[in-house]
Amino acid sequence: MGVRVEPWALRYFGVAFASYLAALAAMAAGLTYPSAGLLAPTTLAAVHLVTVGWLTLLMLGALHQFVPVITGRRLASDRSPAATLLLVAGGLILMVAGFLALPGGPWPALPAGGELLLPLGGSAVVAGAAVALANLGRTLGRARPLSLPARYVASALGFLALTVLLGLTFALAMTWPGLLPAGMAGPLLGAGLPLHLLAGVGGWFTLTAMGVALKLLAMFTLAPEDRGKTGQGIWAVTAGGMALAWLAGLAGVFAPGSPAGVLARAGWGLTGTGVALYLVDIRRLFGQRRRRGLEVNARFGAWALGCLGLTLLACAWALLRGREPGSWALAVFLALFGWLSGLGLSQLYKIVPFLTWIERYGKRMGRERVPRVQDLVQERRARPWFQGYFGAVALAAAALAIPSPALFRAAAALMLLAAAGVGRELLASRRCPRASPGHGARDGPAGARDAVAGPRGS
Amino acid sequence: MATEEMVTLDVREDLRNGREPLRRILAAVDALAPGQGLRLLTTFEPLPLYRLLGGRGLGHEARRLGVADWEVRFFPDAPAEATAPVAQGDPASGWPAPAMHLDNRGLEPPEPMMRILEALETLAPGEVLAAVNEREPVFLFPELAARGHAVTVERRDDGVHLTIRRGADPA
Repeated sequence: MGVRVEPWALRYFGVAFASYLAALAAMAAGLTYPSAGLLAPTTLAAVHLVTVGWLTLLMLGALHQFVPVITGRRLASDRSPAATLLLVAGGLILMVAGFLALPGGPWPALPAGGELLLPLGGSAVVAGAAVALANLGRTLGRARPLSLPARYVASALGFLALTVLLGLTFALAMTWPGLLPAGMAGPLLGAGLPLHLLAGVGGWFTLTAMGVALKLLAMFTLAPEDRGKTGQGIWAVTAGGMALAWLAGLAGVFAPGSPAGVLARAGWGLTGTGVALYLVDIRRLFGQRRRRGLEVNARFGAWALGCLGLTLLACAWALLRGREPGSWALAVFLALFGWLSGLGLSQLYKIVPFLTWIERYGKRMGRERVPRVQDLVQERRARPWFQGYFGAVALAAAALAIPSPALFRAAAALMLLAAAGVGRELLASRRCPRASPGHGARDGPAGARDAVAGPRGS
Repeated sequence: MATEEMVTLDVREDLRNGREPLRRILAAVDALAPGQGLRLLTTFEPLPLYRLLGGRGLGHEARRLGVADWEVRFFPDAPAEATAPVAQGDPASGWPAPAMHLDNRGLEPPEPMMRILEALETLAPGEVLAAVNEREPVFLFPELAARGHAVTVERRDDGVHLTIRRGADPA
């Protein structure tokens, strides 16, 4: 019984953060859309640094800690987190090199075998994801019936499998065009991309983030965690809608014009409705909280949730404008950088000090004076970085809507600066807190016994 | 309980200056009129006092006002939950009746864990602590096991009820 601090979680966060900063630097340097094409090799490399390196590793790291917390059980395997991190991070490096070696990229003249980088890297990422799926899936499977956050996570893991498998299929089809039956590779590479995005950004990232946000915000603002039948219904509509949109979308790739199109639109509609209802329910949760003051994680978690609302509006706008890919760029950007990265940054600001604190003071608690978790952070110093980050995201979103490549690069540079600032605050929370006596440091009973003699007078 | 029925004693200045306030507290308790309670202002939660004054039939209610700022109300007509029951303990486990009760509902994690571990240190080996938490304190369990304490957990509508028996003191 009970949960220990997962030592690999913080290593996942470290690799994820490095990958995130590298992607932001590439955006600031003008190597990505809108300075380069939407499917330019450099754009693809940066996108996967964000999605595989930053968000996937961030979420997998968090889930290796979070799944035991929501199920009250230890992970099925203690060794698999290390294997997953090595496979996904190693695979990502090969993938990024593979994208840069694509025709039109900066490394077209890579020595023989360069074309193998993408399928090799993709295979390693798939293998890493499979190891994580087996471990987290088994842990969840033992904890049935699943709580609401656990349902979000379980459905998200299903979409993780779809995302990486479809991604690997792309890599194989691009490397060996004859591999897939004639007439299949073309449509899949063309119309299959939205499915890869929907499964990854919508299914894997967004469902995970929705479940984790629900649990963490309820826990740290002292709001009721049980969202009742309404909460279960919202999950079912959102996850079910995504599944319908995905399956119908896949059918539509091979049989365009069939009823699949109608079903896919229905799926999108359900997903949008579910997400909107989720936001209403989270708003209610904030209203129900018993802790009035909001700490950094909850305040900026709310800003990230606001970006999820803006993402919905951007999706609606893109649907109205039709199939023009550029209009989807804004929705995907808001989802990746406002909603998911914003939530990630704000929750890391709670998770990292919390785990550091348990790891460092768990053994000493009750036996000597230990600081509080909040003594490990300096919220006043961290707040401007978060405000700056979200401000820069808004600026970058405006630059995409115009579109203005120069403005986007400037905004990306600001995002990089702000994210680095948050990263510095996270590192600071890992170092020893300022233990100024009487200020923050809390008297344990040892101190208490000295001051107010206990019954045993020891 | 109305404030008029509470006598206020502020020992924060004493504690900050390293002066021992117990004598003043006990004097204030002795001077209480029948039906009167004590409102104690202190710089930390005085867990050992709960037992000491519980023995005199006073229940307690603690509120944290700031980082090093607590208000604890001790009152005579204590709600059943705040006083240690005179029951026989649990015959099934053979554990004695709880020597201390903690209500950790409304506290943000990891405060419940800290409070439980601190309270356990004030108990003698074999004594029992009863605590009500909002949710299962998952990070507490390995720590209890490492310290040799035994625990039973029961989920009820009003919270997660923990009964913890202090183990023998480790070296």
